[in-house]
Amino acid sequence: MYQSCCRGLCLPPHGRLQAALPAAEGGHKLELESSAVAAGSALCELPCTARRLGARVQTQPSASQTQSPWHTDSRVPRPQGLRPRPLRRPRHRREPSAAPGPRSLSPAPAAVSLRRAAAARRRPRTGPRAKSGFARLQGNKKSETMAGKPKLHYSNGRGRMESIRWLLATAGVEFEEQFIEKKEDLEKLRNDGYLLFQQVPMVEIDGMKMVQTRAIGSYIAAKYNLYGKDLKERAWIDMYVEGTTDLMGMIMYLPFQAADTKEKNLALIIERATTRYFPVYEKALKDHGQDYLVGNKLSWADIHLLEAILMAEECKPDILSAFPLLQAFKGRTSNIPTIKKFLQPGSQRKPPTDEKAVAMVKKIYNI
Amino acid sequence: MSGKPRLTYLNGRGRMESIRWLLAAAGVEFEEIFLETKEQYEKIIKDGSLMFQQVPLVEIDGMKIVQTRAILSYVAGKYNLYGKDLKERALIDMYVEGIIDLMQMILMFPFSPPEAKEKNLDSIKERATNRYFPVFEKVLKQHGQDFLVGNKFSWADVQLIEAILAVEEKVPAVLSGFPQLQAFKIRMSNMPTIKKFLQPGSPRKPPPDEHYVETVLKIFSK
Repeated sequence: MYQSCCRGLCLPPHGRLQAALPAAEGGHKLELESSAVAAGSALCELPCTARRLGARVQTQPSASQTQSPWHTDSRVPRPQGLRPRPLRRPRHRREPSAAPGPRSLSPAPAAVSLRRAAAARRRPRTGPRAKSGFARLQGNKKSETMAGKPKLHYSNGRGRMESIRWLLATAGVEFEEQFIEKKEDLEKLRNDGYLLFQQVPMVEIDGMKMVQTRAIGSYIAAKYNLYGKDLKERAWIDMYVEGTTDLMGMIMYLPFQAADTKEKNLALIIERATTRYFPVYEKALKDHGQDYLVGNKLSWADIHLLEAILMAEECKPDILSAFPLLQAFKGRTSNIPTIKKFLQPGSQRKPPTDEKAVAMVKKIYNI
Repeated sequence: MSGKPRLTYLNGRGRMESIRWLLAAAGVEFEEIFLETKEQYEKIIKDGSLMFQQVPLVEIDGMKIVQTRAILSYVAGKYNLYGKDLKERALIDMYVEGIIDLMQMILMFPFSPPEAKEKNLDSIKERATNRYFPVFEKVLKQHGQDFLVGNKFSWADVQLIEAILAVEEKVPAVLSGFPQLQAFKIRMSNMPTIKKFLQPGSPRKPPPDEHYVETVLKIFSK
């Protein structure tokens, strides 16, 4: 397993991973600390050169991964019978007429296979990875690809899932989507026991079926190092995200309201955006003069703010007119490569909720 | 500065109650400032204490934290009530978010118009009995441990005991189909810090009454 592997870039273990999100405008480098191996497993589908050559790589156990018997971390005790070996073992060269020689020479293949079989019988054979030794070594690569991409379950629209799409996209994580198109799709998810509280969003990720938007967002942010460096930075990020969540929550419900309430609420949204929310972020950027809201590093707070800005602009195109720093922030953040890609046509970003989408949602969720 | 966390809210449960529960369960003493007039509220907005012009506000470790979830997450993290790793934290977050959705119904209940009160009460009972409590009953049954996550006391347990007691105030027999939750309730109630919080004279606030509703409307309506 590779701690620092991202999209085929193999970097020395324990090192910092530069630029999954390279320099934004202004020349600031973004350092994305490589995190759990699972981050690598989600991103990396290419076989590593180092792995092919059978190199041993020191890794740290990932928080999001259960211990595997073939973990090369020296701190992890290996179960009996398994020793590290390169993927391509040297072939046994055997003289056709030779009797089994002294112990120092390679034993005859028959004896080797007997010994291997005995060792295999001694090994604990539990869990989904209970394969033969060689297959298990290969299983490193297989389990990474088997772990697969996160899978999002929601209707084909923004709603509560959009913030999660933004997060995953910014982190450079490819994901699949299964769209709920009719009531029966939702019923099936419920009847299959997939939804802890009978609700979507639901995201299948790292062997979990996660529900509750904030829980999912928190997990992804932490996993991909978008949650600050310590508890205090996390508190700041949480505060900022809660603010933009409140604002986007208001905007999210707008299409579902009757015409007269809609007009009143639109005015309220614009008022809240310009007098309660945007001033806070403008001030935060002004006070520290840095490119990002928290800790001089891209975090969930920035991604969420950009999303909120764009949604608010859909309500009123010049809504940022009194906020020069937010305008600059918007320009900078939109140019981050993964975000830029997400903002282009053909990405998994969903369009604003139109009447057709409203009708579909009302039908599916019985509103 | 005493060094204790300082809570600013009304003298009532509202959104601050979960925070009082969590601090108390962690054995942390705290101070409280109660907003009684609109002028008091406007004053703290003017002096910039409230990031989004809203309470709850908790002053802790040199920060003025607002937003209930941000406060709760910080307290849970600080006092080791947030699991041992990312996956346990994810479970705790999921459980807590579900319970908060149920608590939200209880929070809003006193403010419902009289004609909607009965319907809303039925909704609370229905959601508690069919959507939320079965989940936690099953979790406790499946792993057979005392606590919801990781065999260790966490924020999820505090949130659940708070919710159980709050729903029971409205629907007294709500736990009748949930033996695991009944046992859980007794276990949690007997934990020393929680036991202390449940006794008279603690910072725990009484259920909202008409006076509380009036104060809320007076202070927060424009």
